Amino acid sequence: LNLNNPTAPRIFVVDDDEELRESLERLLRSAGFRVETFGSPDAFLERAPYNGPGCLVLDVRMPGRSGLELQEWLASAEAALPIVFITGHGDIPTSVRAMKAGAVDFLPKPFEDQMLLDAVEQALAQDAAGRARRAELATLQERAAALTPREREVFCLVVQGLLNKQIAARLGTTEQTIKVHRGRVMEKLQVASLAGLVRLAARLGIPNRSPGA
Amino acid sequence: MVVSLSRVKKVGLGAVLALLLPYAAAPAAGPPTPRRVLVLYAERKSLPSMELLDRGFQATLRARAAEPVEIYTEYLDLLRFQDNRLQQEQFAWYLRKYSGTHLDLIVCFGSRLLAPLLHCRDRPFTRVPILCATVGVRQLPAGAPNPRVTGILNPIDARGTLAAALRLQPETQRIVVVAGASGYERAWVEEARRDLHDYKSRLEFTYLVGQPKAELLRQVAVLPPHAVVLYLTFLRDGRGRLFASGDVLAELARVCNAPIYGISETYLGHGIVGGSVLSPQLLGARMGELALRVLAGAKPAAIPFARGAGALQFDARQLRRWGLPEERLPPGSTVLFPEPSFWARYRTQSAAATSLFALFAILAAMWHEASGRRRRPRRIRETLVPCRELVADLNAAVVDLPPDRVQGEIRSRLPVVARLLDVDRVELQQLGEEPRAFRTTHSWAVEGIGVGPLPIRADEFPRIFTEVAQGKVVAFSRPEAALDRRRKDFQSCRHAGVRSLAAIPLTLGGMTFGALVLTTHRAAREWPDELVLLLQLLTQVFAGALARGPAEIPPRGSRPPDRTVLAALSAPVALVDSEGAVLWLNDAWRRLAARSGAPLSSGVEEGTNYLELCRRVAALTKNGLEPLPDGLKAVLEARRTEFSCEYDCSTPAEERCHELLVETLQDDTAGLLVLHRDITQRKRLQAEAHQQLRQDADTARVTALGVMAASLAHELSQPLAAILSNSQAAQRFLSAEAPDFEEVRQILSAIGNSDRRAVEILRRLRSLIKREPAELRPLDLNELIHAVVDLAAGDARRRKANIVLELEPGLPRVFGDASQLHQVVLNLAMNGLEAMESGSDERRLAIRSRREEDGWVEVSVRDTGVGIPEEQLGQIFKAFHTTKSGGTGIGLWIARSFVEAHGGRIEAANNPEGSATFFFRLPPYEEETA
Repeated sequence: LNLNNPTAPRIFVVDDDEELRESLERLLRSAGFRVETFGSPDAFLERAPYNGPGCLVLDVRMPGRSGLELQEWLASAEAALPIVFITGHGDIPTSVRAMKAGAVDFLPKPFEDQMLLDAVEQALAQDAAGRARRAELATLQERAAALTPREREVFCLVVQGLLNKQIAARLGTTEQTIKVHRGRVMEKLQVASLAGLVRLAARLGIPNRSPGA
Repeated sequence: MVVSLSRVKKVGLGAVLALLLPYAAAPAAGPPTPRRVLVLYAERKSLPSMELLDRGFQATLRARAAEPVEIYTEYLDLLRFQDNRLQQEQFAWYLRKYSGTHLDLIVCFGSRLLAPLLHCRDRPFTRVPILCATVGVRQLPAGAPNPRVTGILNPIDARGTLAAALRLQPETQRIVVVAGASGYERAWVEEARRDLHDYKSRLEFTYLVGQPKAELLRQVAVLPPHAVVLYLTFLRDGRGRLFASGDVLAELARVCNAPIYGISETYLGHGIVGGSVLSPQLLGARMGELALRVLAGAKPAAIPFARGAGALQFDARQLRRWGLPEERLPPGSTVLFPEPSFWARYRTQSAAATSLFALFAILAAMWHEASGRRRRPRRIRETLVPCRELVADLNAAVVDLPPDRVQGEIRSRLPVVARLLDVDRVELQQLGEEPRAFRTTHSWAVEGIGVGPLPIRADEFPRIFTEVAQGKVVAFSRPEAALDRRRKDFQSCRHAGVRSLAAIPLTLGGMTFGALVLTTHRAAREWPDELVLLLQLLTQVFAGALARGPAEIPPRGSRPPDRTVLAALSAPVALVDSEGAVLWLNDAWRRLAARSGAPLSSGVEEGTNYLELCRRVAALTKNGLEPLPDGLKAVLEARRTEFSCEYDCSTPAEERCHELLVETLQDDTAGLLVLHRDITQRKRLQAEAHQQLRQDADTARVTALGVMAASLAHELSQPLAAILSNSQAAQRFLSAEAPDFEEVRQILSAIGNSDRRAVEILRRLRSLIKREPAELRPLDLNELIHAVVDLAAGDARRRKANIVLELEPGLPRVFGDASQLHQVVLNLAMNGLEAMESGSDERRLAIRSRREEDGWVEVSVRDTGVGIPEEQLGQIFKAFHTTKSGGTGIGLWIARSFVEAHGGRIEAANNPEGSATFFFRLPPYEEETA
């Protein structure tokens, strides 16, 4: 890992206990991470939005907004950072709630360094995967945006399983015209087969069955 | 003779009767025995009011008739079967049914019955007198006046009911009248409308008449403030569905947000507060009386229609529910359903309250140890003791005080609470006549703060009132920081100079009925969670006491006691003149005097000087009577109005305890009433309650420690986690190629800091558990042992064990905290007694004290129990170690903590014969002199 690399993942530690916060900062730094620490969820939220790779290490119980509340808050935003919870209580209901809401891990204090580092690595991997997924989706969305309205119509009807002839009838044109549109759609979306087209439609959230069919 | 119904229709009722009953036209000749009475009820038998009418009527008639009476009863069920023709046929059928029966009187309940009856007037029934009672309306029934007819007009008393409601709730602005849809119910509504005409200008009236039931329920749930409901009847709703008034009322009462008043006795107990209610049974009885007069020969024409009246009756539970004070009831009111005794009704709550007391005591102690000590070191001693007393005494009040003294008891505790918690004002507030306001019922304030009572009212403190009314605690300091400046709450606080405020709901059975309100005006104070918890516990105590307290007692001494009443009492009573001479004794007194072991009643005759007797008895015996002569004298000399003392009057056969009450007769004689009351049972309950309290204290201590432990575990996890992470970070930094030693130095310093923090947390834990002696003074351990034995004697008796004392005279004193050492000895004694529970034949607990050669004082407690398994000897003083099945494992641990806090030692050993001895040794206070 290169600390000077601006795209190196960043670990955000949020804990109200200063001693613990600093010790976590040192531990993560000793393992080669870039670390930023915050004394409260609100302090973290005040920070400029961060879009790079990273994860959160979050105490569950803090005065004011709790760690779980921060989790909910972040989840409502897009591109949430994965969260590793740490807690002095380790109560099961809280951990279940946190894990259900998508936490990577839930560590009762005190914990061995390797447990935290493993959890952080896992969170970063999850983040990276998520980022890749989002990037891919963004590309696909960009391609789909290039379709003309008529091409988009044809695309939707094709993935619903209609034949060219049926599409032509429905759109009031000839089968030949539809063939041309269809060819352009596949070209613009960089897809080679009908199956690829259907998969792509699913990724983009286009229904593959017409409401009436 | 058979007559078809079609013919009845054609010819008409009168003519048919003429055909059917020819012989009835003959004059009633000869003595008709028995007398026959036909009673017609307009409604079905299953209506509660019909049943009560019948009961009242029959009971009166049967009990007082000179000759035998045969009663024939019919129910016409007109409400459900309204068809007029059907009714005529029904009559025809009845008359046919009774054609062979010579009737002396017809009685009908319900004005609609009279006209059809009179239809038959020119034929056979012409001479049968008729009595008619109207139910609910004041109009003469159709057909009257008539020389054959008299009766009772029995209108609903809407006016009297509303007057009572307004007395109870003078702020009332709106009256919501509820009634069903049937004709008979509408007649009631008209009656009410006329009756309430005078109020029309002053109050707003809403008539919810004939609504579908669901709609009615929806509407009464959201009535505006200052409304009351006047419930007339609800037998048929707008959709034609039939109901029972009582059932609908009960549903209404569950959802209605305003008090409901009603006009029938049958509604009491179904949710009405009360009212001037018609009593069907009474009406029945009056009709019975009227029937007797007519059967005896009186002519109906000579008896004018009488007028019935409502009786003022109220439901104590509803009065309490809506916070309506009984003293506002109109004169002559009867209160039904008075509260059952505290023990009967609140057995579970009070058991909970008892353990809350204990928990309160423990938490109070801990709280002061934990936070109070550092913040207000001067106060510890002042606050801890009253705090314990507060709990103990209030407990006594709840368990045992007569209700009329609870209020005073509560009042006297408020200053203690204020001082204890360092606030300027303490108030107990309860819901009063106004629906959205508390009124201050008990208050106390520091002198010179210049602020009067501060009742939390919705119009002044909308937010605070709402929160508290919902059962939530409101606590804040500095209103400018805690409250919205634009809101009324803030303005009201500023106006009253409130710097901080805590309002804790008074609840019972889940219902909020008031609040404990604490305010400071000179300085702001914080309300930490522990404190709020304490306040909630305290409030529970007050709530329990208040629930028990407010029962009104009849005014005493307003009349000289009636001797016939006194004579019938089961309690021994004597009347004594102002010189102390006995004027009169009741039989119960003589019976008590005849028993053995009744020193204050035997030998007493008319003329005996009771004061002299008391002096003699008090001088001779030592059973608690020492203050009696002076107390009695004080009442005789009118320096006090009453005096009471308890005394032991056990016989060899049984333990008994009596209470002697002396009270001034507030009449011209200036004499006294002397009364003995057997309080054996009460004492026993009290003793059991104390026993329970002791056990609860143990449980509570452990529970509280558990809570504390959980919180400490969290606090400890912080520094421990920091230490671990730091040390592991340091290792990583050191394993780098060029270790950053500055970084590592910082880490080591951080580790030191975290460690010190952990130690501090542990120190706090220790100081909570092993308290340092709080009130040190020289103590005589022998005295202390005597005190403990007094306490444990009851327990020992129950366990059939003897406590033997072998105390060395002239024992050196020790320097210590009496309550702690007291507890040490008590714990060891109880431990010994429990050890002898099983097995041992001879149960003997020997408590010994002696001065050792080195000058230390040793106390030993030796039992004849089963001893301690050798392998456990080293463990028994550890926390949570127990050998008893029900033990908490904490008693001996506490004993050790206390002894060690006094610089002493505690040990246990098995005796050669197998039982155990516990020793503790303490250093002497005096320097070695001899």
